[in-house]
Amino acid sequence: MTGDKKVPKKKYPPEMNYSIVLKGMGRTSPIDVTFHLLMAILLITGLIIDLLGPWLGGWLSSIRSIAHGYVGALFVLVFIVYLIKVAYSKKMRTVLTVTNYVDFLFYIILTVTGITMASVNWPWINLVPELADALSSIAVYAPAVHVALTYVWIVFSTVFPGGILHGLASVYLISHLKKKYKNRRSRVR
Amino acid sequence: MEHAVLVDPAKCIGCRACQVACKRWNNNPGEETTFSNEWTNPPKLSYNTYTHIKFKLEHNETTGETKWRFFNWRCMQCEIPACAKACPVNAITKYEEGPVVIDQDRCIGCKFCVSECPFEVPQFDTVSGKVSKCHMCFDRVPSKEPACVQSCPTDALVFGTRDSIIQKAKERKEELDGYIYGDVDNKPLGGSSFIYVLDAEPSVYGLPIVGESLSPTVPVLNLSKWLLVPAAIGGLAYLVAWRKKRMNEKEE
Repeated sequence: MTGDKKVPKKKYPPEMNYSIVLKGMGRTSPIDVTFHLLMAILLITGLIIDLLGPWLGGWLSSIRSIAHGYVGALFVLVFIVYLIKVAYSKKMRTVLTVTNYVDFLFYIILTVTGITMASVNWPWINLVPELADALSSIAVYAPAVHVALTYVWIVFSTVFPGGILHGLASVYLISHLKKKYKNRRSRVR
Repeated sequence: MEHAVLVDPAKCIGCRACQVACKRWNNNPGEETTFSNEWTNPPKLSYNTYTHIKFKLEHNETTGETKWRFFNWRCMQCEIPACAKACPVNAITKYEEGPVVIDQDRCIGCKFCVSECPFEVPQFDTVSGKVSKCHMCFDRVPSKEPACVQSCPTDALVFGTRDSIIQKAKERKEELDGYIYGDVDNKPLGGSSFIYVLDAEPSVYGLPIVGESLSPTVPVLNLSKWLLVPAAIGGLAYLVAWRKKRMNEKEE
């Protein structure tokens, strides 16, 4: 009744925005950042090869072999680790939606067809004859499935809030937030 | 004017002069080979081997007779080449004289042509990262016959205008009571510039039965990029709607 009881000042968590989330993701889940970064590289280089190929021709040779080929091989390894992490981490599964799981299906098919194309005429495939036989039976369909499925995935991820919209929204939000903070900082000064 | 080569395996003696001539004209190195259970050597086409002779030993159980079949094998130089249609960088060209040629400077080694060729002819080189195959000596024809044809001692390979070659093939078919592969009886991918006149069914020589038109995978490969149009429209509409929603929320 005296009214002199002191209420402790409530501590609120810091204001959350996309930049903080992205920075935090880099700190707490490097596999997530690597996975998304490699996927973005593969998508962009694949689109460059398919859309600009007739004009750029031989200039794309190193993009195809290094930025799409070797990065693709690295992506396969990272993707396997990522899937294992999803399978074993309940925390990760709680943030995944149905769209993410459909995306995984797309990535698995793209990975298999990618490996199939890479294995054609490579000597290492003969070390595993069973795998060579299995892959050679789908080699005819591999390029068409690989390319067409990429475009189907792009359509899918724009119709449903999947990868592409997720990326575009992130870019928009980050630029928007940066502008907002820049204005706020200039006002403070 | 389109030219063609008539391949007559019944006249082939398996001397491999065509293999050597091809290597010399294209300045390709020899292959390091190993013993195998057959005489075909090199056992398969490679980045440096554009043509080879397949050896096939046939044994007739009823008559007890043994017969050799020698068979020149390389790119068929198709009229509608699946490899060229599948190439994302337009590195493969079908010339009106007949040859189908890979431009090595444009090739990016994506191997789409390797997968799409129904004859499994184009070969990828792991060292250069490029694909190569027989080009029907495009740098010789039509003024000179291809190197393999020039070297053939038994006229198992004959070069000429397409019409004259088809005429010769028909005459030879009568003699052999055989089969024309590449035109007339079977026109893989619209016909080919290497036309075989066979004394047995194509399957005896291991030749695949290929349709006259391209397999559906090639148009899928070429047309799927148009899916970007609905994706772009959809994405744009989504972003506009999302922005509008946010602005409405701010106003409220």
